[in-house]
Amino acid sequence: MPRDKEGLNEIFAFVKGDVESLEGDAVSIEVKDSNRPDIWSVEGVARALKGYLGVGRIRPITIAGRSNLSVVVDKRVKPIRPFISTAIVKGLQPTDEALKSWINLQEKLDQTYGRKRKRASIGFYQSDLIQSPLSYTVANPDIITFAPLGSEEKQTLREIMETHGSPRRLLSPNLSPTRASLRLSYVNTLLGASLTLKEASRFAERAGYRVRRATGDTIELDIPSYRTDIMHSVDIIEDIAIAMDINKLKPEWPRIWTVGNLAKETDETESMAEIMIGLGFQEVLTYALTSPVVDADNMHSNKGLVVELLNPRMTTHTTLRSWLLPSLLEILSHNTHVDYPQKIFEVGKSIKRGESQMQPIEETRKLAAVTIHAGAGFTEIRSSLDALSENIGRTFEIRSTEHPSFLSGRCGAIISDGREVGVVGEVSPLVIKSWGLNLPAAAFEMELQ
Amino acid sequence: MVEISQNEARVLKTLIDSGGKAPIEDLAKKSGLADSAVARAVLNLSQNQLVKEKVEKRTELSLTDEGRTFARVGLPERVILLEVKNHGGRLSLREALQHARLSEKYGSIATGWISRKKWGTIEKSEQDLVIVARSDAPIDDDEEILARLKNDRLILEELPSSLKEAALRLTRRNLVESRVRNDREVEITEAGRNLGSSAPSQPEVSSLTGDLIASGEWEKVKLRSYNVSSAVPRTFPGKYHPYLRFLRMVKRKLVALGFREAVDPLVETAFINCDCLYMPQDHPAREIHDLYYLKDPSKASLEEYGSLVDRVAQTHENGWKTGSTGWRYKFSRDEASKLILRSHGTALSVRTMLSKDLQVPGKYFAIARCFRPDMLDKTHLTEFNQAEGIVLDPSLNLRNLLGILEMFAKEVAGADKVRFKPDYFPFTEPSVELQAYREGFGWMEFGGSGIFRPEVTEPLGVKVPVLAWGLGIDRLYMMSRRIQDIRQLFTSDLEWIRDQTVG
Repeated sequence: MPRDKEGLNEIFAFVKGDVESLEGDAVSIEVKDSNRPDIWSVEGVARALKGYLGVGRIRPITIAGRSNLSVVVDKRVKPIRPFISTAIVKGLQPTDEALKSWINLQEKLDQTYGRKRKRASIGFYQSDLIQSPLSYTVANPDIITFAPLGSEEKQTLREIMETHGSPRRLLSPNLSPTRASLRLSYVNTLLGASLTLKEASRFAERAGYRVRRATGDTIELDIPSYRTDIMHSVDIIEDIAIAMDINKLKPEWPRIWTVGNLAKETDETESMAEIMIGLGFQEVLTYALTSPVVDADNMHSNKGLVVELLNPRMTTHTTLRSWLLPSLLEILSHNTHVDYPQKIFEVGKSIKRGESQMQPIEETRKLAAVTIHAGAGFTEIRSSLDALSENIGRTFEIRSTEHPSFLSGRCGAIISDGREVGVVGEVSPLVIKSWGLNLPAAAFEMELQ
Repeated sequence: MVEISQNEARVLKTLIDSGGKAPIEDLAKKSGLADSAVARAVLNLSQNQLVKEKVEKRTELSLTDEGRTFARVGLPERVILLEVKNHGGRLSLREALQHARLSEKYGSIATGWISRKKWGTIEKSEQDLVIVARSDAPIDDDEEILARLKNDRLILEELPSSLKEAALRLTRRNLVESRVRNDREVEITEAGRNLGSSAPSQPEVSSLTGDLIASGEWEKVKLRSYNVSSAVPRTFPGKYHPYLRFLRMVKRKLVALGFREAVDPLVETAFINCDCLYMPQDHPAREIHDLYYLKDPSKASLEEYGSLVDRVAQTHENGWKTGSTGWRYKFSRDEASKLILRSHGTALSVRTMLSKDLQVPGKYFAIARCFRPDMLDKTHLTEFNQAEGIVLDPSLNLRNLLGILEMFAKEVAGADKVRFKPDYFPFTEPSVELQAYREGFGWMEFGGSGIFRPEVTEPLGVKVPVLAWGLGIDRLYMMSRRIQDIRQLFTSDLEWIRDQTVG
């Protein structure tokens, strides 16, 4: 067994694990596979590695027979939680460490597969203290009382639930293996390998499967009961690839001919950027997530058809931006100590609620630009806009308009093919002040095609 | 050869005329240039080592009010002596004072200095002092100083030693006062002298104008030479944002490798983002701490997807015709119709596969803005970019996936070697993590990939193997720019942006 991180990582790769820390003899690993509870414990990892490393056989788990225990299931549990299963494990003397590990695993299963015990939950009990028959039934949470483990006082079920979380019920997997049949040709086609029947069988065994028969193109095998993640042949094929070590497969660039190209939206962005940069504007990058303070309040404009998040994490990121200009002014507000003139632009998306049920969201690609310095004004921004339109071959008409974020009498609507596609003007001093700026600014924002 | 301006040449000439050195204000006076012009010229000349600037302590002398009077009428000892001489060479002090119209207080001063200067002798009579003049009493140093100070100021340090003494004497007598100042003096160097004596005195022009060019006059005038190594005002060009420049580079490389770019919406349905990717509906990655849901509007109609919704639902429930067991739970269309913000670029690959323009063989990619409900910190962004793509062809296999990853690592990340590690995603099987090694950076995780599960491709109507890959481009960019804090990618620091080179 290697002792260094690199060596250990190579071994834990078999269980999709990464060494997180290594101190003396203690190694902590993160297992990436969120669908394989059989390797969520030290014992499970050890069982899997046994096969991959060829150090001992994986003993199949079998059920000895029926216990003399019975469970009486109340019909009324059907709409609540209809399934229960139990098993008794005998002949094991678990150490404290083993017990802790089992409880850890049980807790992980409850949290993930049990969806925090909403879907299912598991309990451990000392079997010789349990008397048959067990009753699986419903109870009035306010009437039934008992003293929970670690407590001397009797509580009602509801109280216990409030202090101990969900009630614990019994669940255990079906321990008999599932039969599956695998086509060797599919294995080789998917992996790009040329394994023989014997080799493929050997790798499957290493991965913990029991090969029952291998003839012709078919491998019949048993999937251990704890491999709840196996849904399709591809899952078994991946295990075979891992067992043979994917690094042994020779990488090969696909021998197909395709023509690459950029999206037309990217081409359009590039044309815009070329002209804007030529006009001396610096390209910037901002977030699509914003807040009503930035999007509307500081702009002295109305909230409009803004899209709101259900579960925001930060007060500064609660909505999607309905236009780009606020993001640009926010940038300027962080740079009042930096040399002027400052001229910036961004090509990005604005997102609004749509008008119809069929189109609940309207995403629009836009270009916004702002110039700020002692002499910034309408003429400068309008001439930049004109230069842009002339050079990208779009004709605009500028019609006088009113906009709460712009100075009255110095604001125009950008009209293209009779449709309003943007706004240009001198930024209102109210807006300039709201952003903590102290120089005149002029800006435009318009939709792309 | 050093080129100098006309003003500079004039200053050099003035210096030569002034004997090689002069205080700076003298240069202005003598050259007829403005003080500021002289200062600028001297600065340039001294940068070229044509002159040296020195700071010297100077004692400036001037007359007191009393001194000014005596400069006009003569020192008391001289006035009295003249009266004595006018009266036959012998006169009592009282009579002398009367004739000279001097007050009595000057009596002792006059007699004291007459005897000290040996201009005469003083004899005592019963009632008075009698002054006896000597025949010769030439103008002395004291009077010389007074006479000079009448019209000008004098610098003590510049006077010959005898006059220096006289000046000090007069200072003690309160007729002269002194003030100390620090004078900048300019001294010509050997090089300056050579250049100054040879410099032409042609008229000089600072701006080359259209008129000068058209008339040919520019050849005749002397164009002022600039100090080309001195600092000029900073200007800031417009340029690409540094991170977007990097993303453009990634796009170029992917296009060069035959990939077609795809673009699609930021707001998605859970159906496209999750269900089509075979993520079970109660999968932890679909909980509110991993996925942004919209409040208003919160749902979209799935009508446009038609029977696809049925196929996906059945695949989740029982595997449909894919040969899979499925997740074995009851699929909810309501859950699928929820609107969310795209959480991974793979959602875009789903849309590509759904597109009626999908080509097989085909290679597609997208640089996708994605969202996760994380708090912003050094290692987390709530918005980030993923480079994501798919390759479709009946011939494809896992070795081809490794080939693609190897090509990316070398072409895009400049990696020296690569290795692969088994990975896990709900929508790919097998799944492979790409690790790339670069000299000076070590091994780093660089991307996730896999072959789409049949549970993903078959309901979408795609009947060939689809290799899917994603590259950690944010991290790659941070590595290449040595950026420690991921928030730097969306920085609003204009100064930093301006300082970034375009390489």
